[in-house]
Amino acid sequence: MTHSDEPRPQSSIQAGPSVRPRPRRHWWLLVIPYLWCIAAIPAVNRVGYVFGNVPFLLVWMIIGVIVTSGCISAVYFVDRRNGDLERI
Amino acid sequence: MVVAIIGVILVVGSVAGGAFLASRGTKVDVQEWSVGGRRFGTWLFWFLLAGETFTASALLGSSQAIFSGGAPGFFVLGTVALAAPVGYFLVPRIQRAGKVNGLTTMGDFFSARFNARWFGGLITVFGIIALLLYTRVQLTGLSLILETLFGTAIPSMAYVFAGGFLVVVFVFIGGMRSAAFVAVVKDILLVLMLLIVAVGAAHAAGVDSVAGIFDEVRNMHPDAGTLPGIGGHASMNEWWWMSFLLLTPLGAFALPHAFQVAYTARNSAAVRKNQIIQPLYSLFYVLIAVIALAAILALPNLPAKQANGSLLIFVASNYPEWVVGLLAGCGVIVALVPTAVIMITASSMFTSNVLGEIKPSLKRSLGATRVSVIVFTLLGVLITAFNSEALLSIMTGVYSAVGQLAPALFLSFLWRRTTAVGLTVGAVAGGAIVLVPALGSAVLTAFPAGTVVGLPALVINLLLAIVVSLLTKRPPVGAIAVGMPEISTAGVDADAEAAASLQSAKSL
Repeated sequence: MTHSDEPRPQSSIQAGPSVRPRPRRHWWLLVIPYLWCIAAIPAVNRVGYVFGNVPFLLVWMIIGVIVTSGCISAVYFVDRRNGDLERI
Repeated sequence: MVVAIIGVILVVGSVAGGAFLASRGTKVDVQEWSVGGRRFGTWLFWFLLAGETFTASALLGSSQAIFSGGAPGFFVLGTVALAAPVGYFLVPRIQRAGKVNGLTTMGDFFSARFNARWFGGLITVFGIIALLLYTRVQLTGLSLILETLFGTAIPSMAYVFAGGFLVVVFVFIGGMRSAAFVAVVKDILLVLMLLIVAVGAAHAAGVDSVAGIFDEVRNMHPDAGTLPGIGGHASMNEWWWMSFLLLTPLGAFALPHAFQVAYTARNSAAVRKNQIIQPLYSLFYVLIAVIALAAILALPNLPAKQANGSLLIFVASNYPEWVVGLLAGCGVIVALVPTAVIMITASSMFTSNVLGEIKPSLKRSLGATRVSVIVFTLLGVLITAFNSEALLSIMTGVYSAVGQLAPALFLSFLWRRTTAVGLTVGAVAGGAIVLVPALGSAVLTAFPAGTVVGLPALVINLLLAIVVSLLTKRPPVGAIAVGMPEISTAGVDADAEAAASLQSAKSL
């Protein structure tokens, strides 16, 4: 477990082998798109139509694309703040 | 006539323009030709990767899926989106490995990662077969478009050959750089075209607004809006959707040209920023959905055999000639760019990892690479000309077979203990399950109806890869570092891994 008051290295690449890299728990956000576009589908498929006659599955997937982009950008900006963009 | 003239001007203009822009001030060697000198920043890389999103087959295949089934075709919105988070994790690793170790192909990577050139060679052969299947999909799309452009008076085989010829010319001019430059033109044109067609779709379908399209489709086919769609085939149910979308993002990066494209990136930041925009690009598929739904209304009696070309037929029979010409020209470029990338990949792989093993002087030979382009394009043309199926089923098939390379890809970056023998055993078993129908259906009995065969095959593949890896000799430390450099996450992984191998050693 990494304590939050530990000095944060600017880049873990330069941190050297003695410092264990900071965990990237925010990467768990990347699971959301899969829950949205895969796990939720049986429930979504039961809804049928919205706004009159628009298939809900289509609307759900369109929002899913935006949610996916949102999750990735959140991860990207946290990584950028931490200087982790080049970290493998 | 107008159609053909506009189409030809569009294609020649953008290919020539792209090649001109690409050729400015660069000396062409193999590295320049095959991975664009590893200098592409966010934007150029975006368009090249997006080229893989919007391919002729993806456009025609998705409109076919919506046209003939309704809701199942909406899956296409998920394929691109779900590949992006995987890309965020994976592509920087591929890019880094390529840059640090001077790799130009997928085969190079696997040779280096396991210090086993036979393994790189094997991956190359498997990969080239997959690429040829994929080429077939693109060329089928291309010939469909040419058929719309020039009519059905000429046999479709001639169109496939013409398509192959176009690809060779295109690739010879400038390699990966010209592909990237033309990709920019292509995407802008394509989006414009889709907007024009979508705006006219309601009118062409005989209703007064986009909402009217949805109303009428529901009226005609009440089951179109939910899975399993029009006609209610079990093969397009919720299980199909879930297993297919789970498999697709894994398979997307196992295609060898994903490596090729990853190597063109300048750095990890460019790749990662790219993954934010990439999914948004697939929102343009909404336009395709609207157009395909309108086509259901406008072409109620189209034979199922022609569903492949429903998008083209819809436009050809309902829009002014200049729109048809623009769309056809645009469609040709849309097929050319990805096919060119595939051909660059297949020929670089073959020269570097097969020819280069036999005769080392040829390993970095641009001449040999170019000759391979001709050979592979011809092979792709022959495969296409003598065997045609519905586009979507080919796509599913390719992804399922190629998806079997996914464990090799992921484990190389995640697990130090992975061995080449383990991955080979796993991939062969998985590939057999996908490609031998008897094996596939036997395995599928344990899964809900509708599940894509690639998924259970992948599970068996992965289990075998892990077990056999633990039983075989681990690769040398230097080779492991190709995929897993420095300490990074090794602290945690190594402990867990040691415990896991102890556990399994005991249980064995």
